[in-house]
Amino acid sequence: MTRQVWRMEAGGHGIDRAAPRSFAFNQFRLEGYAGDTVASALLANGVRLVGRSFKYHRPRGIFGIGSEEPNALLRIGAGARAEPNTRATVQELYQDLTAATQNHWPSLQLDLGSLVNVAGALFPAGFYYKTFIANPKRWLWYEKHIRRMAGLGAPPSEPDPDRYAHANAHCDLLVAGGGPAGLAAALVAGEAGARVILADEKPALGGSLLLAPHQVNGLPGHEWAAAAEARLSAMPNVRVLTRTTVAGVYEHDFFTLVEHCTDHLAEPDPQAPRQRFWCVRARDAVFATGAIERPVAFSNNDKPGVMSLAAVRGYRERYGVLAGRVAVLFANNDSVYATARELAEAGMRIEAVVDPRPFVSEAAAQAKADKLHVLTAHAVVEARGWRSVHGAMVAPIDRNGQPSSAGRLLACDLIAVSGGWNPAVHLHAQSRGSLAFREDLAAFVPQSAGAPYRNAGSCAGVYDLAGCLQQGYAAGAIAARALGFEGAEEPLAPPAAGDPVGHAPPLWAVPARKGARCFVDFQNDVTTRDIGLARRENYVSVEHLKRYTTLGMGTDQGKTSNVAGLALMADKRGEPIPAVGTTTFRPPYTPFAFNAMAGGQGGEIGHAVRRTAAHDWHAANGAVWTDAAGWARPMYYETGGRSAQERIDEEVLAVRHAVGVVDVSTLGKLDIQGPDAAAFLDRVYTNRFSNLKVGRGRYGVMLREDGRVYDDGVTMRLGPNHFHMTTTTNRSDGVFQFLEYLLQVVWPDLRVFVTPVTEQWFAAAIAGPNARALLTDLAPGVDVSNAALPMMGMAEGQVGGVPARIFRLSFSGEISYEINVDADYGLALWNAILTAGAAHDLKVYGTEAMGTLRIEKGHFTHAEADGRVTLDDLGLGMMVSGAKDCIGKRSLSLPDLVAPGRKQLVGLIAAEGERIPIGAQLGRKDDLEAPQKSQGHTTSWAYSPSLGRYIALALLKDGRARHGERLYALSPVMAERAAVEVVAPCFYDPEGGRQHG
Amino acid sequence: MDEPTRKPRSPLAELFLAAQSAQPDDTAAVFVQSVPFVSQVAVRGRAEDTAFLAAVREATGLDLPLAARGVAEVEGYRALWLGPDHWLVMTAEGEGPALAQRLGQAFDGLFAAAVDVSGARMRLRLIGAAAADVLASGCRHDLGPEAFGAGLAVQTQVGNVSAVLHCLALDDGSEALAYDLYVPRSQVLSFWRWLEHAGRPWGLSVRA
Repeated sequence: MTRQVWRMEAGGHGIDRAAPRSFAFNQFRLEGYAGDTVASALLANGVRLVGRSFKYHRPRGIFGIGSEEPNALLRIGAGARAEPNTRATVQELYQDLTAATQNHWPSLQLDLGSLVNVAGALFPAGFYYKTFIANPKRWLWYEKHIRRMAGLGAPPSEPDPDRYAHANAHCDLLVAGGGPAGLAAALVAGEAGARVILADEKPALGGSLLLAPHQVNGLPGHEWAAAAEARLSAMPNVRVLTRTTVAGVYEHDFFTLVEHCTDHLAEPDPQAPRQRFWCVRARDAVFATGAIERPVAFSNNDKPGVMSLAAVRGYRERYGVLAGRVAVLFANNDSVYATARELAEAGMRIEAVVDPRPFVSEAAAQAKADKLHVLTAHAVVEARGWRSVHGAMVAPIDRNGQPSSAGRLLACDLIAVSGGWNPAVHLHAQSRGSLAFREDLAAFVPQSAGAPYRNAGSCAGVYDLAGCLQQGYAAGAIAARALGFEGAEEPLAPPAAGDPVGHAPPLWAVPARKGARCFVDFQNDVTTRDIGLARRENYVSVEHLKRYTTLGMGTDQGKTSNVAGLALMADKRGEPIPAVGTTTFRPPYTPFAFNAMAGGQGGEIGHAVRRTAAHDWHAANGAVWTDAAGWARPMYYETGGRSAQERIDEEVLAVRHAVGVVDVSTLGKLDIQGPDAAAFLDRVYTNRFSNLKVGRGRYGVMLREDGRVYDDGVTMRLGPNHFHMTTTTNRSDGVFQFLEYLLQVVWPDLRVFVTPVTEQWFAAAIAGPNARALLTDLAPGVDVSNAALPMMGMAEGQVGGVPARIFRLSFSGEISYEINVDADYGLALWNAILTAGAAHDLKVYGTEAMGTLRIEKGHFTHAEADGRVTLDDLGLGMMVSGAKDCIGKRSLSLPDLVAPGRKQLVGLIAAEGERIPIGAQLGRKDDLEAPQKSQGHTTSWAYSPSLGRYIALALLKDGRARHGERLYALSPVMAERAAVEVVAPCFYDPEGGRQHG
Repeated sequence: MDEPTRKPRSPLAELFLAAQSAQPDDTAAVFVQSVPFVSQVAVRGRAEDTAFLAAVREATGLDLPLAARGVAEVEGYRALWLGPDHWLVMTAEGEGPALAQRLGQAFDGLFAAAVDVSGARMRLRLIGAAAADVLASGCRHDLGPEAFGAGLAVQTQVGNVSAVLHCLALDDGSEALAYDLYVPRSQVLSFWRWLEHAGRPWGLSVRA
């Protein structure tokens, strides 16, 4: 175990020195403290090199201190729980955490990929496009090598073992960010009684108050923040969410938040979600998201040891860590002088403060007087060193930022850089708020006019602490009052001591020295030269610049680089920055696990499975399941040793020769009542229902408005104004919505109520020559004779001891009864049928046998009525009543629907021993290879045990006139074919005598 | 129609039996109670049709709630507003068909309908300090106490199903709210699995 060589003897209010935490970094065992981030712990141990860059494999270190970090991406954890590309600056330290560096081979110290860096001139922006556009086939070969070289960490290949959760919340005011402005806004609105949600990405509230020794109301900033957090947490109407990022802003006051619940724990509660995805509806929002310090591009500015000035300051303040021993501070603003004093007091040697401004600010003068080595009108022009900084080349610059000499070398191990701040306008921009460029800050700030939400604090361009607090109070109070909490008053901001930024004219880049690179985007290895190249190649729009150079892409989305990149483009175009504009800000603000968005709701938890009342019986008796519009339906029932086809054949033959029972609960069922119910059905169905007798049923087909077949089913007339409609399983919801639409929008004058009752009824169909005998046994009190209960008749009475409705109808072509009972009694009925069925050779059958039976009979389903076919195509043109109108009828005279050459329903019988391929096209030539004109296609397919042949239904061009023709069913995809004969689409008992018997 | 001679069965029957025989978890912050076989009748009619409203009152004593999310209760009956022309009227176990028939007769000559849907939805009751949090994890309706208190019911998505959610005050002297969920019968097992998933962070246990 190494000593924490860069940890100060005391200080750091974010860590608990009594709670050491040891962790693994690659092969090293290191120690930090509870409260550390991985970044602060690594710095405390003097670790500089934490990764290799994306493209050039250059050594990289920790740059920032928060979620803006572009460089320090580590793989945290091991095995299935490993998380690649985790920002070391965000990941909290826990006991036995394992952190590993990424993107190097064979090791971090010696990475052969860095040869790309040497050959860098060969790999400019747009390299891939330029190289592979001439011969795209080469890409296939190169791709796997490039993919290994480029990119970031690799995700684990195992399934994600963690839990995730969703949460929904509503509030009056959402406050994004718990720094001084956010705390102030939440306090005011919360005290006024508004429902407030305050979210902050850090484990503790305070924001900038935690990262500099500011004072509020006479208290150290972090103590004031802790007290404010305690006050907020005590309010029942306020919900404080730490470790929670406001990730996205959407229309209609909808926000998404991601809460990291257990990512900071060594041993998370196995019941707790790792991340929780919040969907928040807020009536108003205050964005108090702070500002992000921006770097300055100079030669080799990506070396480990070049860091953000505010980060260096924050590591000292929050974690008691000095990020270097000897520092050169390079900043265009006055925050550097306070920082220099703090660091010097803590024992860091400040080699020089390099201030590029051509004037001596008051703070600079004071620092000079305090014997600090201040170089005004100077710049760091180059960082020296390889795996970490050894020195800074410092040179005087002129008013245009051009170095006027080669400069001199200052030995140092840390270069802390500040090029000013960019307000974190992301959420404002996501909410379609517009941005204005403020010349004095050289930054884009939110334009409040027309903005849907409010911005407060440094994200609104207010950089002094008192101003942030005051603006936070004001935003909270104004928002609360506007929401009806009239008592909301903004208190006077407490006295606060931050430090002034002063006038900070922008400095985006110092010209590159010969052979060196000045990095703008560290994560994507985009240099000032790449931006120049993009300009020369006319990718001048910032959106093109982004795609061409990858500036602003990746896990950090250019938080430290975007504005500098577009400022440099503006400079090269000779235009002002606002004319160049920004790229689009899109959610999420920071990356999170996709699984959080899914809420861990895989499979049945995410998409409910519908089960019939007899589901458990099916499951216990070998059901092989299929999904039918969300229902679990048995396809067939497995029994020892028999193949699927053997089982299906047995089930089919049982229906043809004895009796079978099938669970048909999944059919859609609608209760239709009202004085105009019959008239309504006449308009919905192509055939007439108003003349149907009470107690009788009729098969009906409904069309879409374009004349194509929509759905079909049998509707029973229960009373003069009362019908029971059945729909197909697939369309049960769709038909209900269609009928409701017609009643609410098209014919509001019709007095009809449609009530869905699919869930109410369990239904079992018994079918086969023995069906009547079985029903007689089951329902001794009901007259089931052919005279009393003919085809399309119905009866009511006890069946198997359960009150039931019996509908006589047939899908199989055999005598068949559909028995409907209250679903609570469904299993009771099912068991009663099976018990009574033993004496009648009853077999249970599934959807496969049902399909075979109906194909043998030539009944269509949605496989045939696929949304393109008309009733006439199906050979059912006579079902369209000539005496009345119906939905879709007028469309039937459209030229295309009556033109010759339409595909019509036919049957196909395969030649002896040949098997019709699934999804076959029909051709005249028995040729799978040569192109030929398709004559049609198969829609349904089965082996018919009754015929001993494979049969199919097909849609064939002019099919009705082609019965007897020999064609070939061809599947070039499956490389299968069969010779088939075209026949009428009914293979079994075409006269229909069996079902009426 | 005669009374059934067989026993009804809830799709959750085995789950509840198994859960009840297990050691009860007193640390759980949310509990599920099974309330099997509540009779339900879908009542359809126009809210402005006073004859219809009077017929319901005559048959049950209920004044149907006319405001969205409304709930009405009288001895033996409860009505939940589901839509401008749609109510769910509940009564004692086994009474569904009889109530539907009685209402149907009372609606004779009116534009109104009563349909027994007793088997269409299963009822679960959620109680405990975290009940609203568990529901909110899968429900976009505002379930905050300011927005959704006792005596309101809403038809909305909860987890993986479209459910009717009814907030009620328990008559056990506590201030606690309870939530009755009416879940489509065919999906109730899937919903149960969602509930286990959603309740896990708080601890979810079954109570008899």
